Parts: sequence; structure tokens; C-alpha cells
Amino acid sequence: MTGGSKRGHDHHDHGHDHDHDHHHDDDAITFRVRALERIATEKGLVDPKALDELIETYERRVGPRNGARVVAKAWTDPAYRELLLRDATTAIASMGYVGRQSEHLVALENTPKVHNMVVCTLCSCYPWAVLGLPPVWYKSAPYRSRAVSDPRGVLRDFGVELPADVEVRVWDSTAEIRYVVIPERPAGTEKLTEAELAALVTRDQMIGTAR
Amino acid sequence: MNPPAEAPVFNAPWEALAFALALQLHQKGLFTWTEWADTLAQVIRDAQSEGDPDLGDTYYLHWVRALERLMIGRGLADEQGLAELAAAIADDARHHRELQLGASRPRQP
Repeated sequence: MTGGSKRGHDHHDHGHDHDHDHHHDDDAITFRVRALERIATEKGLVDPKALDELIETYERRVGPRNGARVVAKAWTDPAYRELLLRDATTAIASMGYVGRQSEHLVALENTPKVHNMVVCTLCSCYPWAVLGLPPVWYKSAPYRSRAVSDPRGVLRDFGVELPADVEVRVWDSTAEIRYVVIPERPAGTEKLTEAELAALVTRDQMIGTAR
Repeated sequence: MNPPAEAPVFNAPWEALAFALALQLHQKGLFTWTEWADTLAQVIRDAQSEGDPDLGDTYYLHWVRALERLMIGRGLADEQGLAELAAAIADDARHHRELQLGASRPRQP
């Protein structure tokens, strides 16, 4: 066993009886996953060190800040924006953000008349390279179904009241195609640097649950 | 303005381990990512039909079931072998804890 901060032995406090069932459930699933790990390791399919590196990457290094930098660059560099809209996989890889499932990335640009919103109706496909791993609500059945049946209602839940003349386009992600929304650049930001602009961009905007 | 602090990426070590295992097995060619997504989607549908409200908090349980299904499907394991191995690992862990508790108990004068 290697020394990653999140792995190794789980030191539950067994001196307390409250919450005991929860601990037992967590223990049971922990041992099931450890069994899978041991089998895969014995077959030479995984290296525990590589597992720790993967966890570290997704816990600390990959996240919506990557996507925010992509958006800010598209806002400030017309040639980059053009490439991003034409071939997002290449444009995003050029900034060093590469997916692990050889998935194809598509950038969707919001305009004053079009709002884009991304969902994965079947499971949880998500543009990891630019947004990291999805939030819990993105993986929930209510979001996965309502994003399609009632996107304006979902937006209202997120505090966004979309004018009636703005068209909502909902995009269903797959294992092969992942979408990222390029929100509109806010007014009055002409003097901001690319880094300052990136700080304005939120994860929910890039999913399309914020405007 | 920075967005508010995010929830942790993984809520327990086993979630992180299951996540990384699936990625590694995919990278080693055990399954394509499309096969992974199809299996996960099927597991989620099965869980829903068994009454899981599927609010996102059981997501990594689905992930583990998908991993088990694919590993069993590829002949790496079978249901019974997995259950026995998990029980053996649990026994080891319990033994380990008892040893730790014994070691930390203050000695009687």
C-alpha cells in the first residue's frame, strides 16, 4: 500500500456507537473495492502508485479553473475562439488539457439569443479535462431528466430567469462527445486581463446552469 | 470573484479508489470508455428500478457495481470469489485494528 493521503487504512473511530450502521456500510463497500484492486493488481493491470497519481490529479489538479482559462482565452483571442468553436479538442489540448478517454470535445457558445445547457441523461459523461469531475447534482436523476423535459425550470432552480426570446439548447453528452459552454463575456470587462477574466468564469456557467 | 468552495471531489477513500481503478483498467485496454459508459448507465437503470432515488449520492456505488460487472464479464473475477476476497480483507483489517487497540491500551501496573 502506498502513502497517498486519501488511501491506506481507514481509521474509523469505533469507540462511538452512534452512526455505526453507516460505518459498517462504508466498511463493506471499502472491502469490496479493495478486493477489486487486489485482483487487478495481481493480474498486473494496475499499479497502486499510478492509482494514487490518478486520484491526486483529479482531486487537486484538474478542475473548472482549466475551463475558465479556456473561456478567458476565447474571450480575448479571436483566432483561439475560432479554433475552439471549430475544433475544441485541439484548442483545449493546445493549453495542455487532455482527456483520458480519447473523447471529442465540443464548445458551445452562448449568445444574447441562445443559451446552451449540458447534461448526460444516461450516466454522467462530463468534460473532465476542462471541468474536473462533475458535481453531485449533475449525476442525479432529477437533473438528468429535467434538463431535457424542463430546462427553463432547472435554470429557475439555479436562480436564472431566462427571457422568453432566448432559445435554450440542451446537449446530451456521451462517452464520445463532451460539451463545454462558453458563456457570454460580461459587459464592462474590456480592461481586464485574461487571468482576471478567468476568475469571473464559474463551473455552472460552463455546464449551462448559470447564465 | 472566485466561486464558493467546492464540495470534495470524493467523499470517501473507496470512491477515489474505485474511480481510479476504472480509469486504469480502461487505459490498460480492459474495456473501451463507451463500454464503460454503457455498463454504468445500465447499472444506474437497474438501481432505479430497484428503488434507488438516484440523487447523485449513490453514484460511486453504481460505479463500483459497473466495475464489478465488467471485471466479472472479462473473466477476472466471479461473484463468489469477490465476496470471499472482500471478507478476507475485512478480517485482516479487523485483526489489524485489534492489534492497534491492544498496543495503545495503557498497561496495568
